[in-house]
Amino acid sequence: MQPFLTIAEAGALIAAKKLSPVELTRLCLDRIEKLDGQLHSFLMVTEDRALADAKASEARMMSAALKGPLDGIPIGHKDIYNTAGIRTTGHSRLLEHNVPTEDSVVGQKWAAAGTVLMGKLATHEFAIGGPSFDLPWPPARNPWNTDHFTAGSSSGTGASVAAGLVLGGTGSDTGGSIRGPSALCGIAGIKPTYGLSSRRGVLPLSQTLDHTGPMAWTVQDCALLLQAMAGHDPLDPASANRPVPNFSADLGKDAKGLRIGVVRHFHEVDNPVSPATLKGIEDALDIFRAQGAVISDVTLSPMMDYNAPGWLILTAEAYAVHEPWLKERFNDYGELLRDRLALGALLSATEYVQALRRRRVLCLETRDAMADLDILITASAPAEAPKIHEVPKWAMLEKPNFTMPFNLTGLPALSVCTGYGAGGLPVSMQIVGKPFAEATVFRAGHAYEMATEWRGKRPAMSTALTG
Amino acid sequence: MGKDAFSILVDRTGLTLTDDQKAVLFAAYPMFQAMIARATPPMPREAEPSLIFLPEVM
Repeated sequence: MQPFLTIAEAGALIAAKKLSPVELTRLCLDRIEKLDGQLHSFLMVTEDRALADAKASEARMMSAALKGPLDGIPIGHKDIYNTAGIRTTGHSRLLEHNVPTEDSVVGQKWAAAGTVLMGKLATHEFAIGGPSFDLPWPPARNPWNTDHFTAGSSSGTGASVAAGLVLGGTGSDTGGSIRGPSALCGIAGIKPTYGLSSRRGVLPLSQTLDHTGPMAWTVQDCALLLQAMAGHDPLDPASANRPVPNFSADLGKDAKGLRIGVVRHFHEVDNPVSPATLKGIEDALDIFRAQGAVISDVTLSPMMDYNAPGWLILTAEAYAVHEPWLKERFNDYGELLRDRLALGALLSATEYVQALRRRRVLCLETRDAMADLDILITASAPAEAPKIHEVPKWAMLEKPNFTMPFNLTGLPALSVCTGYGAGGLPVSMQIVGKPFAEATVFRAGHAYEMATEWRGKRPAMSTALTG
Repeated sequence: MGKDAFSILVDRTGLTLTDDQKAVLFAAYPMFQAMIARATPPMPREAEPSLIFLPEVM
Protein backbone atom coordinates (compact mmCIF):
# COMPACT_ATOMS: atom_id res chain seq x y z
CA MET A 1 0.00 0.00 0.00
CA GLN A 2 1.22 3.51 -0.78
CA PRO A 3 1.88 5.37 2.47
CA PHE A 4 -0.36 8.32 1.60
CA LEU A 5 -3.53 7.89 -0.40
CA THR A 6 -6.09 10.49 -1.28
CA ILE A 7 -9.76 9.65 -0.82
CA ALA A 8 -10.18 9.35 -4.58
CA GLU A 9 -7.24 6.97 -4.83
CA ALA A 10 -8.25 4.85 -1.86
CA GLY A 11 -11.85 4.72 -3.02
CA ALA A 12 -10.80 3.51 -6.45
CA LEU A 13 -8.54 0.84 -4.97
CA ILE A 14 -11.28 -0.36 -2.62
CA ALA A 15 -13.74 -0.47 -5.51
CA ALA A 16 -11.24 -2.62 -7.41
CA LYS A 17 -10.75 -4.87 -4.34
CA LYS A 18 -7.07 -3.90 -4.32
CA LEU A 19 -7.17 -2.19 -0.92
CA SER A 20 -8.58 -3.50 2.31
CA PRO A 21 -10.51 -0.88 4.33
CA VAL A 22 -9.35 -2.71 7.46
CA GLU A 23 -5.68 -2.41 6.43
CA LEU A 24 -6.15 1.25 5.58
CA THR A 25 -7.82 1.88 8.93
CA ARG A 26 -5.04 0.06 10.79
CA LEU A 27 -2.46 2.19 8.96
CA CYS A 28 -4.22 5.36 10.14
CA LEU A 29 -4.60 4.02 13.69
CA ASP A 30 -0.89 3.22 13.73
CA ARG A 31 -0.05 6.76 12.62
CA ILE A 32 -2.35 8.20 15.26
CA GLU A 33 -0.61 6.15 17.92
CA LYS A 34 2.84 7.26 16.77
CA LEU A 35 2.20 10.92 15.98
CA ASP A 36 -0.77 12.23 17.89
CA GLY A 37 1.12 12.48 21.14
CA GLN A 38 2.89 15.41 19.47
CA LEU A 39 -0.02 16.71 17.43
CA HIS A 40 -2.94 16.53 19.88
CA SER A 41 -5.28 16.52 16.91
CA PHE A 42 -7.64 13.95 18.45
CA LEU A 43 -9.69 14.48 21.59
CA MET A 44 -10.85 10.89 21.37
CA VAL A 45 -9.81 7.99 19.14
CA THR A 46 -12.73 5.60 18.53
CA GLU A 47 -10.62 2.58 17.64
CA ASP A 48 -13.29 -0.06 18.21
CA ARG A 49 -15.82 1.88 16.18
CA ALA A 50 -13.26 2.46 13.43
CA LEU A 51 -12.42 -1.22 13.12
CA ALA A 52 -16.08 -2.20 13.17
CA ASP A 53 -16.84 0.35 10.45
CA ALA A 54 -13.86 -0.88 8.42
CA LYS A 55 -14.87 -4.52 8.74
CA ALA A 56 -18.40 -3.70 7.63
CA SER A 57 -16.99 -1.82 4.66
CA GLU A 58 -14.73 -4.72 3.80
CA ALA A 59 -17.71 -7.07 3.86
CA ARG A 60 -19.52 -4.78 1.44
CA MET A 61 -16.43 -4.69 -0.76
CA MET A 62 -16.27 -8.46 -0.89
CA SER A 63 -19.96 -8.73 -1.75
CA ALA A 64 -19.82 -5.96 -4.38
CA ALA A 65 -22.16 -3.82 -2.31
CA LEU A 66 -20.05 -0.72 -1.73
CA LYS A 67 -22.00 2.44 -1.01
CA GLY A 68 -19.85 4.72 -3.12
CA PRO A 69 -16.47 6.47 -3.26
CA LEU A 70 -16.34 7.15 0.50
CA ASP A 71 -16.95 3.56 1.56
CA GLY A 72 -14.06 2.44 3.78
CA ILE A 73 -12.49 5.91 4.02
CA PRO A 74 -11.12 6.86 7.48
CA ILE A 75 -12.47 10.24 8.60
CA GLY A 76 -12.78 12.29 11.77
CA HIS A 77 -15.35 14.74 13.06
CA LYS A 78 -14.55 18.08 14.64
CA ASP A 79 -15.67 17.79 18.23
CA ILE A 80 -18.60 20.16 17.80
CA TYR A 81 -20.36 17.59 15.59
CA ASN A 82 -22.67 15.49 17.74
CA THR A 83 -21.93 11.77 17.71
CA ALA A 84 -24.45 9.36 19.22
CA GLY A 85 -22.99 7.59 22.21
CA ILE A 86 -19.59 9.26 21.72
CA ARG A 87 -18.49 12.21 23.83
CA THR A 88 -18.86 15.59 22.12
CA THR A 89 -17.20 18.36 24.08
CA GLY A 90 -16.67 21.44 21.95
CA HIS A 91 -13.17 21.18 23.44
CA SER A 92 -14.67 22.79 26.54
CA ARG A 93 -14.81 22.02 30.21
CA LEU A 94 -18.50 22.90 30.10
CA LEU A 95 -19.29 19.85 27.95
CA GLU A 96 -16.50 17.62 29.22
CA HIS A 97 -18.88 14.72 29.84
CA ASN A 98 -21.50 15.45 27.19
CA VAL A 99 -22.62 12.35 25.28
CA PRO A 100 -25.22 13.10 22.59
CA THR A 101 -27.92 10.64 21.68
CA GLU A 102 -27.98 11.48 17.97
CA ASP A 103 -25.44 12.05 15.25
CA SER A 104 -25.29 15.36 13.44
CA VAL A 105 -26.97 15.29 10.06
CA VAL A 106 -23.59 15.47 8.35
CA GLY A 107 -22.36 12.62 10.54
CA GLN A 108 -25.39 10.55 9.57
CA LYS A 109 -24.78 11.23 5.89
CA TRP A 110 -21.10 10.35 6.00
CA ALA A 111 -21.86 7.18 7.95
CA ALA A 112 -24.47 6.25 5.38
CA ALA A 113 -21.79 6.73 2.71
CA GLY A 114 -19.69 4.05 4.41
CA THR A 115 -17.00 6.19 6.03
CA VAL A 116 -14.91 4.87 8.91
CA LEU A 117 -15.15 7.04 12.04
CA MET A 118 -11.68 7.33 13.58
CA GLY A 119 -12.60 9.73 16.36
CA LYS A 120 -13.30 13.26 17.47
CA LEU A 121 -10.96 16.05 16.52
CA ALA A 122 -9.65 19.05 18.42
CA THR A 123 -11.20 22.45 17.94
CA HIS A 124 -10.86 25.82 19.54
CA GLU A 125 -13.26 26.02 22.47
CA PHE A 126 -16.77 26.11 21.01
CA ALA A 127 -15.12 26.94 17.68
CA ILE A 128 -13.81 30.35 18.67
CA GLY A 129 -11.49 30.50 21.64
CA GLY A 130 -8.03 29.33 20.65
CA PRO A 131 -5.26 28.58 20.87
CA SER A 132 -5.98 27.97 24.54
CA PHE A 133 -3.73 26.30 27.07
CA ASP A 134 -6.18 26.35 29.99
CA LEU A 135 -8.67 23.76 28.74
CA PRO A 136 -8.95 20.05 29.63
CA TRP A 137 -7.11 19.19 26.38
CA PRO A 138 -4.15 20.92 24.74
CA PRO A 139 -4.50 22.69 21.39
CA ALA A 140 -3.62 20.85 18.20
CA ARG A 141 -0.16 21.43 16.77
CA ASN A 142 0.90 22.02 13.19
CA PRO A 143 2.42 18.83 11.71
CA TRP A 144 4.81 20.83 9.53
CA ASN A 145 6.38 22.18 12.71
CA THR A 146 4.80 21.44 16.06
CA ASP A 147 6.00 24.74 17.52
CA HIS A 148 3.58 26.42 15.19
CA PHE A 149 -0.13 27.19 15.15
CA THR A 150 -2.69 25.27 13.12
CA ALA A 151 -5.13 28.18 13.01
CA GLY A 152 -8.64 27.33 13.99
CA SER A 153 -11.08 26.49 14.89
CA SER A 154 -11.06 23.23 12.89
CA SER A 155 -7.52 22.75 14.15
CA GLY A 156 -7.59 19.00 14.75
CA THR A 157 -9.01 18.33 11.30
CA GLY A 158 -6.31 20.44 9.67
CA ALA A 159 -3.50 18.75 11.59
CA SER A 160 -4.78 15.19 11.27
CA VAL A 161 -5.49 15.40 7.54
CA ALA A 162 -2.10 16.98 6.79
CA ALA A 163 -0.29 14.32 8.82
CA GLY A 164 -2.22 11.49 7.19
CA LEU A 165 -3.99 10.33 10.36
CA VAL A 166 -7.31 10.54 8.52
CA LEU A 167 -8.08 11.06 4.84
CA GLY A 168 -10.71 13.72 5.45
CA GLY A 169 -12.77 15.34 8.13
CA THR A 170 -15.42 17.81 9.04
CA GLY A 171 -14.86 21.44 9.82
CA SER A 172 -17.10 24.34 10.59
CA ASP A 173 -16.53 27.90 9.45
CA THR A 174 -18.00 31.01 11.06
CA GLY A 175 -15.20 33.46 10.30
CA GLY A 176 -12.65 31.23 8.61
CA SER A 177 -12.47 28.09 10.73
CA ILE A 178 -12.24 25.69 7.77
CA ARG A 179 -10.07 27.82 5.50
CA GLY A 180 -7.67 29.02 8.21
CA PRO A 181 -6.48 25.57 9.33
CA SER A 182 -6.56 24.35 5.74
CA ALA A 183 -4.23 27.20 4.82
CA LEU A 184 -1.81 26.83 7.72
CA CYS A 185 -1.72 23.02 7.54
CA GLY A 186 -1.35 22.93 3.75
CA ILE A 187 -4.51 21.04 2.83
CA ALA A 188 -7.72 21.83 0.93
CA GLY A 189 -10.88 22.95 2.68
CA ILE A 190 -14.10 24.51 1.50
CA LYS A 191 -16.68 26.62 3.22
CA PRO A 192 -19.66 25.90 1.01
CA THR A 193 -22.43 28.35 0.22
CA TYR A 194 -24.48 29.18 3.31
CA GLY A 195 -27.34 26.70 3.46
CA LEU A 196 -25.81 24.01 1.24
CA SER A 197 -24.87 21.68 4.09
CA SER A 198 -26.91 21.10 7.24
CA ARG A 199 -25.80 22.57 10.56
CA ARG A 200 -28.22 20.44 12.59
CA GLY A 201 -26.49 18.54 15.35
CA VAL A 202 -23.45 20.82 15.28
CA LEU A 203 -22.84 23.05 18.31
CA PRO A 204 -23.78 26.56 17.20
CA LEU A 205 -21.55 29.60 17.41
CA SER A 206 -23.27 32.25 15.29
CA GLN A 207 -26.25 30.96 13.41
CA THR A 208 -26.23 33.40 10.52
CA LEU A 209 -22.52 32.86 9.86
CA ASP A 210 -22.04 29.17 10.74
CA HIS A 211 -21.25 26.82 7.87
CA THR A 212 -20.38 23.12 7.84
CA GLY A 213 -17.88 21.81 5.30
CA PRO A 214 -15.18 19.28 4.48
CA MET A 215 -11.38 19.33 4.71
CA ALA A 216 -9.07 16.91 2.90
CA TRP A 217 -5.68 16.62 1.24
CA THR A 218 -6.93 17.54 -2.23
CA VAL A 219 -9.64 19.60 -3.85
CA GLN A 220 -10.99 16.47 -5.52
CA ASP A 221 -11.40 14.84 -2.11
CA CYS A 222 -13.26 17.88 -0.82
CA ALA A 223 -15.65 17.56 -3.76
CA LEU A 224 -16.29 13.91 -2.89
CA LEU A 225 -16.84 14.69 0.78
CA LEU A 226 -19.12 17.64 0.09
CA GLN A 227 -21.18 15.49 -2.26
CA ALA A 228 -22.02 13.27 0.68
CA MET A 229 -22.87 16.10 3.07
CA ALA A 230 -24.78 18.60 0.93
CA GLY A 231 -28.53 18.66 0.56
CA HIS A 232 -31.73 20.07 1.98
CA ASP A 233 -32.46 19.51 5.64
CA PRO A 234 -36.03 20.58 6.40
CA LEU A 235 -35.20 20.84 10.10
CA ASP A 236 -32.33 23.28 9.56
CA PRO A 237 -34.07 26.62 8.96
CA ALA A 238 -31.08 27.92 6.98
CA SER A 239 -30.94 24.91 4.69
CA ALA A 240 -31.37 25.62 0.98
CA ASN A 241 -34.07 23.61 -0.75
CA ARG A 242 -32.46 23.05 -4.12
CA PRO A 243 -30.97 20.15 -6.07
CA VAL A 244 -27.41 19.12 -5.29
CA PRO A 245 -25.22 19.21 -8.42
CA ASN A 246 -22.37 16.84 -9.18
CA PHE A 247 -19.42 18.66 -7.61
CA SER A 248 -16.90 16.52 -9.49
CA ALA A 249 -18.46 17.10 -12.89
CA ASP A 250 -16.00 19.78 -14.00
CA LEU A 251 -12.85 18.45 -12.36
CA GLY A 252 -11.41 17.24 -15.65
CA LYS A 253 -11.57 20.71 -17.17
CA ASP A 254 -8.75 23.20 -16.88
CA ALA A 255 -9.25 26.93 -16.35
CA LYS A 256 -9.82 27.75 -20.01
CA GLY A 257 -12.50 30.41 -20.33
CA LEU A 258 -12.84 31.02 -16.61
CA ARG A 259 -13.29 34.70 -15.77
CA ILE A 260 -11.19 35.36 -12.70
CA GLY A 261 -11.29 38.51 -10.59
CA VAL A 262 -8.31 39.15 -8.34
CA VAL A 263 -9.18 41.09 -5.19
CA ARG A 264 -5.67 42.41 -5.17
CA HIS A 265 -6.21 45.16 -2.62
CA PHE A 266 -7.27 42.58 -0.01
CA HIS A 267 -3.84 40.90 0.02
CA GLU A 268 -1.62 43.74 -1.16
CA VAL A 269 -3.04 46.75 0.71
CA ASP A 270 -5.68 45.87 3.30
CA ASN A 271 -3.58 43.15 4.96
CA PRO A 272 -0.34 42.75 2.98
CA VAL A 273 0.70 39.11 2.74
CA SER A 274 4.14 37.55 2.98
CA PRO A 275 6.36 37.34 -0.13
CA ALA A 276 5.80 33.56 -0.33
CA THR A 277 2.03 33.94 -0.14
CA LEU A 278 2.05 36.65 -2.79
CA LYS A 279 4.30 34.59 -5.05
CA GLY A 280 1.96 31.62 -4.66
CA ILE A 281 -1.00 33.70 -5.79
CA GLU A 282 0.86 35.26 -8.71
CA ASP A 283 2.18 31.87 -9.84
CA ALA A 284 -1.35 30.48 -9.68
CA LEU A 285 -2.63 33.36 -11.80
CA ASP A 286 0.12 32.61 -14.34
CA ILE A 287 -1.03 28.99 -14.47
CA PHE A 288 -4.67 29.98 -14.93
CA ARG A 289 -3.70 32.52 -17.59
CA ALA A 290 -1.65 29.94 -19.46
CA GLN A 291 -4.65 27.60 -19.40
CA GLY A 292 -6.80 30.26 -21.01
CA ALA A 293 -8.49 32.02 -18.12
CA VAL A 294 -9.35 35.69 -18.43
CA ILE A 295 -7.95 37.55 -15.44
CA SER A 296 -8.76 41.04 -14.20
CA ASP A 297 -8.51 42.96 -10.97
CA VAL A 298 -11.65 43.65 -8.99
CA THR A 299 -12.19 46.24 -6.29
CA LEU A 300 -14.45 45.75 -3.30
CA SER A 301 -14.80 47.80 -0.14
CA PRO A 302 -11.76 47.56 2.13
CA MET A 303 -11.47 44.15 3.75
CA MET A 304 -11.99 45.60 7.21
CA ASP A 305 -15.40 46.89 6.05
CA TYR A 306 -16.40 43.24 5.62
CA ASN A 307 -14.70 42.08 8.79
CA ALA A 308 -16.29 44.68 11.05
CA PRO A 309 -19.96 43.70 10.61
CA GLY A 310 -18.93 40.07 10.45
CA TRP A 311 -17.21 40.08 13.81
CA LEU A 312 -19.90 42.25 15.34
CA ILE A 313 -22.64 39.85 14.23
CA LEU A 314 -20.58 36.85 15.30
CA THR A 315 -19.87 38.29 18.73
CA ALA A 316 -23.50 39.25 19.33
CA GLU A 317 -24.93 35.92 18.18
CA ALA A 318 -22.31 33.86 20.00
CA TYR A 319 -22.88 35.83 23.18
CA ALA A 320 -26.60 35.11 22.88
CA VAL A 321 -25.88 31.39 22.52
CA HIS A 322 -23.55 31.32 25.52
CA GLU A 323 -25.10 33.97 27.76
CA PRO A 324 -26.63 31.63 30.35
CA TRP A 325 -23.33 29.81 30.90
CA LEU A 326 -21.30 33.01 30.73
CA LYS A 327 -23.40 34.40 33.55
CA GLU A 328 -23.27 31.27 35.68
CA ARG A 329 -19.95 29.60 34.81
CA PHE A 330 -17.77 32.38 33.38
CA ASN A 331 -14.57 30.92 34.78
CA ASP A 332 -15.24 27.45 33.43
CA TYR A 333 -14.55 28.80 29.96
CA GLY A 334 -11.02 29.28 28.73
CA GLU A 335 -9.69 32.79 29.01
CA LEU A 336 -9.67 33.48 25.27
CA LEU A 337 -13.27 32.51 24.67
CA ARG A 338 -14.71 34.24 27.70
CA ASP A 339 -12.89 37.48 26.96
CA ARG A 340 -13.82 37.50 23.29
CA LEU A 341 -17.46 36.68 23.93
CA ALA A 342 -17.87 39.00 26.91
CA LEU A 343 -17.53 41.89 24.48
CA GLY A 344 -20.81 40.72 22.99
CA ALA A 345 -22.58 41.73 26.18
CA LEU A 346 -21.57 45.31 25.50
CA LEU A 347 -23.24 45.52 22.09
CA SER A 348 -26.58 47.25 21.70
CA ALA A 349 -29.51 45.88 19.76
CA THR A 350 -29.22 48.83 17.40
CA GLU A 351 -25.59 48.03 16.63
CA TYR A 352 -26.47 44.44 15.82
CA VAL A 353 -29.29 45.46 13.49
CA GLN A 354 -27.13 48.10 11.80
CA ALA A 355 -24.49 45.44 11.18
CA LEU A 356 -27.14 43.24 9.57
CA ARG A 357 -28.19 46.15 7.35
CA ARG A 358 -24.54 46.72 6.44
CA ARG A 359 -24.18 43.02 5.67
CA ARG A 360 -26.84 43.24 2.99
CA VAL A 361 -25.19 46.29 1.41
CA LEU A 362 -21.91 44.36 1.18
CA CYS A 363 -23.62 41.25 -0.20
CA LEU A 364 -25.07 43.39 -2.98
CA GLU A 365 -21.69 44.99 -3.64
CA THR A 366 -20.01 41.59 -4.00
CA ARG A 367 -22.80 40.26 -6.20
CA ASP A 368 -22.44 43.23 -8.55
CA ALA A 369 -18.64 42.95 -8.60
CA MET A 370 -18.93 39.29 -9.63
CA ALA A 371 -21.59 39.85 -12.28
CA ASP A 372 -19.14 39.23 -15.13
CA LEU A 373 -16.81 36.90 -13.26
CA ASP A 374 -16.82 33.21 -12.35
CA ILE A 375 -14.48 33.27 -9.37
CA LEU A 376 -12.52 35.62 -7.15
CA ILE A 377 -8.99 34.99 -5.92
CA THR A 378 -7.21 36.39 -2.90
CA ALA A 379 -5.21 34.98 0.01
CA SER A 380 -6.56 32.55 2.62
CA ALA A 381 -4.08 33.60 5.27
CA PRO A 382 -1.46 36.35 5.41
CA ALA A 383 1.59 34.12 5.75
CA GLU A 384 2.96 30.85 7.07
CA ALA A 385 1.73 29.69 10.46
CA PRO A 386 3.02 31.76 13.38
CA LYS A 387 4.43 30.11 16.48
CA ILE A 388 1.60 28.85 18.65
CA HIS A 389 2.58 30.99 21.62
CA GLU A 390 2.77 34.15 19.50
CA VAL A 391 -0.85 34.36 18.34
CA PRO A 392 -2.31 37.72 19.37
CA LYS A 393 -5.37 37.54 21.59
CA TRP A 394 -7.21 40.28 19.74
CA ALA A 395 -6.00 39.46 16.23
CA MET A 396 -9.49 39.79 14.80
CA LEU A 397 -9.78 43.35 16.08
CA GLU A 398 -6.32 44.39 14.94
CA LYS A 399 -6.21 43.24 11.33
CA PRO A 400 -8.86 42.07 8.87
CA ASN A 401 -8.76 38.40 7.96
CA PHE A 402 -9.22 37.09 4.44
CA THR A 403 -11.98 34.64 5.22
CA MET A 404 -14.68 36.61 7.04
CA PRO A 405 -15.83 38.50 3.91
CA PHE A 406 -17.15 35.23 2.53
CA ASN A 407 -18.89 34.21 5.74
CA LEU A 408 -20.57 37.58 5.69
CA THR A 409 -21.65 37.15 2.06
CA GLY A 410 -22.24 33.39 2.33
CA LEU A 411 -20.27 32.65 -0.84
CA PRO A 412 -18.43 29.33 -1.38
CA ALA A 413 -14.73 29.73 -0.64
CA LEU A 414 -11.94 27.18 -0.97
CA SER A 415 -8.43 27.28 0.45
CA VAL A 416 -5.74 25.63 -1.65
CA CYS A 417 -2.07 25.10 -0.80
CA THR A 418 0.21 27.13 -3.09
CA GLY A 419 3.58 25.98 -1.84
CA TYR A 420 5.85 26.44 1.14
CA GLY A 421 7.52 29.49 2.60
CA ALA A 422 11.02 30.10 3.83
CA GLY A 423 10.24 28.33 7.11
CA GLY A 424 9.01 25.21 5.32
CA LEU A 425 5.41 25.80 6.31
CA PRO A 426 2.55 25.97 3.78
CA VAL A 427 1.16 29.06 2.09
CA SER A 428 -2.18 29.23 0.31
CA MET A 429 -4.76 31.08 -1.75
CA GLN A 430 -8.52 31.36 -1.59
CA ILE A 431 -10.87 30.70 -4.51
CA VAL A 432 -14.36 32.17 -4.13
CA GLY A 433 -17.41 31.41 -6.23
CA LYS A 434 -20.92 32.65 -6.79
CA PRO A 435 -23.70 31.22 -4.61
CA PHE A 436 -24.05 27.45 -5.07
CA ALA A 437 -21.31 27.42 -7.75
CA GLU A 438 -19.08 25.03 -5.80
CA ALA A 439 -18.42 22.98 -8.94
CA THR A 440 -16.70 25.95 -10.56
CA VAL A 441 -14.64 26.61 -7.44
CA PHE A 442 -13.56 22.95 -7.36
CA ARG A 443 -12.76 23.07 -11.08
CA ALA A 444 -10.34 25.94 -10.59
CA GLY A 445 -8.78 24.47 -7.48
CA HIS A 446 -8.32 21.05 -9.03
CA ALA A 447 -6.86 22.54 -12.23
CA TYR A 448 -4.33 24.36 -10.07
CA GLU A 449 -3.42 21.27 -8.05
CA MET A 450 -2.98 19.20 -11.19
CA ALA A 451 -0.59 21.81 -12.60
CA THR A 452 1.61 21.94 -9.49
CA GLU A 453 3.56 19.48 -7.38
CA TRP A 454 2.58 20.61 -3.88
CA ARG A 455 0.32 17.60 -3.23
CA GLY A 456 3.35 15.34 -3.44
CA LYS A 457 4.89 16.64 -0.22
CA ARG A 458 3.83 15.61 3.29
CA PRO A 459 5.07 16.74 6.72
CA ALA A 460 8.42 15.23 7.64
CA MET A 461 7.03 13.70 10.83
CA SER A 462 4.66 11.61 8.69
CA THR A 463 7.06 10.65 5.94
CA ALA A 464 9.62 9.59 8.55
CA LEU A 465 7.28 6.78 9.57
CA THR A 466 7.33 5.29 6.10
CA GLY A 467 11.06 4.76 6.23
CA MET B 1 -14.85 56.07 28.65
CA GLY B 2 -12.99 55.76 31.95
CA LYS B 3 -12.33 52.58 33.87
CA ASP B 4 -15.06 53.26 36.42
CA ALA B 5 -17.70 53.92 33.79
CA PHE B 6 -16.59 50.79 31.93
CA SER B 7 -16.87 48.77 35.12
CA ILE B 8 -20.46 49.96 35.58
CA LEU B 9 -21.20 49.08 31.95
CA VAL B 10 -19.90 45.54 32.49
CA ASP B 11 -21.79 45.13 35.76
CA ARG B 12 -25.04 46.05 34.01
CA THR B 13 -24.62 43.06 31.67
CA GLY B 14 -25.09 40.61 34.50
CA LEU B 15 -21.65 39.08 34.03
CA THR B 16 -19.59 38.60 37.15
CA LEU B 17 -16.03 39.61 36.34
CA THR B 18 -13.03 40.24 38.55
CA ASP B 19 -11.23 43.58 38.35
CA ASP B 20 -8.44 41.90 36.40
CA GLN B 21 -10.91 40.45 33.92
CA LYS B 22 -12.54 43.84 33.49
CA ALA B 23 -9.13 45.39 32.90
CA VAL B 24 -8.45 42.97 30.04
CA LEU B 25 -11.74 43.90 28.37
CA PHE B 26 -11.18 47.59 29.05
CA ALA B 27 -7.87 47.46 27.21
CA ALA B 28 -9.52 45.91 24.14
CA TYR B 29 -12.67 48.03 24.24
CA PRO B 30 -11.35 50.94 22.11
CA MET B 31 -10.53 48.50 19.30
CA PHE B 32 -13.99 46.97 19.65
CA GLN B 33 -15.63 50.38 19.53
CA ALA B 34 -13.67 51.20 16.38
CA MET B 35 -14.97 48.00 14.83
CA ILE B 36 -18.54 48.87 15.80
CA ALA B 37 -18.15 52.30 14.21
CA ARG B 38 -16.82 50.73 11.03
CA ALA B 39 -19.68 48.23 10.91
CA THR B 40 -22.39 50.81 11.32
CA PRO B 41 -21.84 53.69 8.89
CA PRO B 42 -24.81 55.85 7.88
CA MET B 43 -27.09 53.93 5.55
CA PRO B 44 -30.18 54.91 3.58
CA ARG B 45 -33.35 54.74 5.62
CA GLU B 46 -34.59 52.04 3.23
CA ALA B 47 -31.58 49.73 3.78
CA GLU B 48 -32.94 46.33 4.80
CA PRO B 49 -31.20 43.99 7.24
CA SER B 50 -29.83 40.76 5.81
CA LEU B 51 -32.26 38.78 7.94
CA ILE B 52 -35.91 39.20 7.06
CA PHE B 53 -38.73 37.56 8.96
CA LEU B 54 -40.45 34.72 7.12
CA PRO B 55 -43.93 33.84 8.30
CA GLU B 56 -43.75 30.25 7.06
CA VAL B 57 -41.70 28.49 9.71
CA MET B 58 -40.55 24.90 9.48
